[in-house]
Amino acid sequence: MQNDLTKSEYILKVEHLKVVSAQGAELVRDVSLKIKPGEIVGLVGESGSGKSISTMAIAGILPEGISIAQGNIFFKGQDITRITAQDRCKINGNQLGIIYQDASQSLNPLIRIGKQIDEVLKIHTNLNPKERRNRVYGTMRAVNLSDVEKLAKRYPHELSGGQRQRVLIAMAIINNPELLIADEPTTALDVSVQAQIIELIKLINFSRKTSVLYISHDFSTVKKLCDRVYVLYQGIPVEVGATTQIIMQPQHMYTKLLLESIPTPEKRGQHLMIMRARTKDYRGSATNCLFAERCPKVFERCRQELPDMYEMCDGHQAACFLLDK
Amino acid sequence: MSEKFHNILEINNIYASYSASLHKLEYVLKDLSLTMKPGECLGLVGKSGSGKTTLANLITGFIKPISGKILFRGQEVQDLSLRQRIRQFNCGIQMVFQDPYSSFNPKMTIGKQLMEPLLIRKSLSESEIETKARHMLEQVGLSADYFLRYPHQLSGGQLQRVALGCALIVEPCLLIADEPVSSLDVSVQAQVLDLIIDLRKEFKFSCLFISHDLAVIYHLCDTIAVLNQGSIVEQGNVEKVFRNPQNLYTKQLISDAGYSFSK
Amino acid sequence: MRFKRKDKNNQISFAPDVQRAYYRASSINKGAKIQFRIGFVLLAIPLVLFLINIFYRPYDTTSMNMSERFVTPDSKHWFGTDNYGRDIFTRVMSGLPLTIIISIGINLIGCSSGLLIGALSGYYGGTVDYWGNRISDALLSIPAILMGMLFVATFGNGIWQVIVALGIMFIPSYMRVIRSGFLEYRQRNFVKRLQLLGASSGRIIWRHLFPQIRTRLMSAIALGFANAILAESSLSFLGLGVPPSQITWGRMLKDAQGFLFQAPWSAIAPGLMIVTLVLGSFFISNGLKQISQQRSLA
Repeated sequence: MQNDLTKSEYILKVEHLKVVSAQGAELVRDVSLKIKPGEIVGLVGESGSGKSISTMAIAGILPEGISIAQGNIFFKGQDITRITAQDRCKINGNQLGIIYQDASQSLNPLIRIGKQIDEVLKIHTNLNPKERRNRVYGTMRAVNLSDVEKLAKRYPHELSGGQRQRVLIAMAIINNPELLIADEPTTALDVSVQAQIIELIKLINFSRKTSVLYISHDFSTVKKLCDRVYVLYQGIPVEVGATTQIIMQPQHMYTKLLLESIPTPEKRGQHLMIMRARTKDYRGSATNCLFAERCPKVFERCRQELPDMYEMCDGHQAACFLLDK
Repeated sequence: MSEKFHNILEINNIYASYSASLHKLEYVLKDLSLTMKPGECLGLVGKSGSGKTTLANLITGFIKPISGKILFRGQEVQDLSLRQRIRQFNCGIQMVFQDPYSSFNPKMTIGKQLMEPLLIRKSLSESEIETKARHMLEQVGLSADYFLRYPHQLSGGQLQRVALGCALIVEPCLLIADEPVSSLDVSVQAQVLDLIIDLRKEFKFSCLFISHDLAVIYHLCDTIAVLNQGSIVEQGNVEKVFRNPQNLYTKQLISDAGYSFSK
Repeated sequence: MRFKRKDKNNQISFAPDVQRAYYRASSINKGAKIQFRIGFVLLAIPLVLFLINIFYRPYDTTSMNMSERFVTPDSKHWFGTDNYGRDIFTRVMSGLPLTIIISIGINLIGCSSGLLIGALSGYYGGTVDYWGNRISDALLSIPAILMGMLFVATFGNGIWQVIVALGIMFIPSYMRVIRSGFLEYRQRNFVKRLQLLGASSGRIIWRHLFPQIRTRLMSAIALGFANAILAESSLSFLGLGVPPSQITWGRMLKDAQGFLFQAPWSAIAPGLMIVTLVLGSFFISNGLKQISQQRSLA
């Protein structure tokens, strides 16, 4: 794909993003990702892969001491890498909706649910109270909350985990954002509620044409939800492709082994792990393939160079020298 | 001990509650019955808030039931205190917790914490205990240099391995694992599951494996018990239950987890 | 105190929480270090004076010299003289040991009893905690001066009376610190694990829980030390403290109050000493507190 002149072909475009801590540890090394309008993109990785830090960088909510060292983030063609807090406020909550992992910690425990959802509207729109109320109720119904008038008057602790997550989703989508970032929205939930939330995100994507960036460490939910997947390993995407491609024919050894380590009915009672355990968490700059120390098919070149993304077919890319032919 | 028992653990019609007043009893566990055969790995599934952890606390003795019977190795234990149970069964029940970071004393080396269970018992000399602890560290798949490290220098998966070692070093006959892999990454989870499979072959303990992840249960366990709103709604062989669930709730759970068997 | 942030190969520890704590460590560490330094310098001043005092005293502490009453500070009498013509500098130098002994005694009583009550309350919770809290509430409701008067009235003026009276008053503050620490750690899974292994409560409390709050306790002790000096001074100032034959800084202040306008320097010198010692302890306490906070993050 060549550089696009039509800027807004991608709703979100991240180019060579590098995020470092104050001590110089590289938390995200070189992440590039693109999201088309209406697409659901998954960002998969284990803890320490930099998936959460990348999303924080996109949303402009990096914790103190951690900053973007390199790279650009384009949101609808506009560079939002280093914009002022005021401009950021116009984007977050309005065109960019964010769902956090822990719903119970993301809601103010002392304010009623309805008022908390309403606040987003208050900030970003000029609607009168009645219109706002209607819209709050409408959005709450849209996320499959029932009995919304009563629910709006409740406090967060009176709600179940699934309901709280739905409230968070309602807050994120009430302004019809063009991009929805969901940072592990299902990890704290039970399996059945998980399935419902996944269905809900799918529905929002379908009915409102919202693009979704879905962050998870769990392949099973990604499989159900995403169109395309980025697999992150230690701050670098090692494989990109359509979900089916990645799940059915993983090319990078890391993805392969990661998929194999998920328990499935066929492997019952057998050993799952072939991959060597990670022994250390290297945070210097990458000079060679970072997966080399754990890779069963490692060869000389892996220890010397950093692999590029090699394209197999149709957008399916992987950063592995085995594919360099 | 040579007493005869058919089931290592038998729970009959247990009621349990956390509220202290008898007037407003809200039962966490209602009329719960469960049996476990020696050497078996029983998977306990249920939503959060269904009483899984309460059941674990009940078996270990941290809380006492309001009514009902608990038979451990054929003996009634529901009225015994935690300390009495420990003395009677010689640390027969051990537990592994979900959060590996809070399972360890942050100011003590891994080696010392592995030695601690045997030091408490005072049955061996200190040098014997150390060799045993070092051996156990090896058995859970960690190299000897972890012996002198502190918990914060280990990853979650490594700590969970040590937690397994700490529990198994006293050779319990029942290990209760309360969501031991839920907070771990996929690849780390796989390592810990592998380790549990190996350790079960070696130590031959019975295992009550609490989880909300059906895939893990199916992978590891022989039998499954489904907990819903404080009581067991279905118990049986894992394969049978997965292929042909009888209870409506179980059916829903299995279909939500995306388990479908072609056969 | 130095905290290792990185190993040789630029590696950091695994757990994300731990990582975060390490990122913060450097800035906290700097603050703690500066506080320590200031604290030690301040504490060193009275200490050096006392050491000199052991080997050399410019004047006698008790002998009176009526011809040199209320001498203003000059080259002969650095801090001037008091109403009996005694050199204040000498008295300040020699007043340190008793001040410190009393302070240590007070904290010994307060800390040991506070540790006992706090540890039991925090570890057992429930009824034990209830009664532990009631004891501390009861003690908090008695003003220190009243307690001092009570002891003086029953047992007469003396060092021991001061130590015991104030020691009892110091129990609640220690108890709170220790109880909150125990409460926090007793809910951790490792305590549950140890209980399952049959560890006795004493073993869990002393071997496993006490080390967790050690730094916190040290900081509380440094603070208590400063507070004890102040409390002793105020008691002595009211005439409820040590008998006139003994020299403490508080006693000196009390003596000075009668002629504060005639000879303000007689109050300034012991006052300054108290301020130096208290500030020094405060700084050290603060430094320790920062370290313990940083540790609890990790």
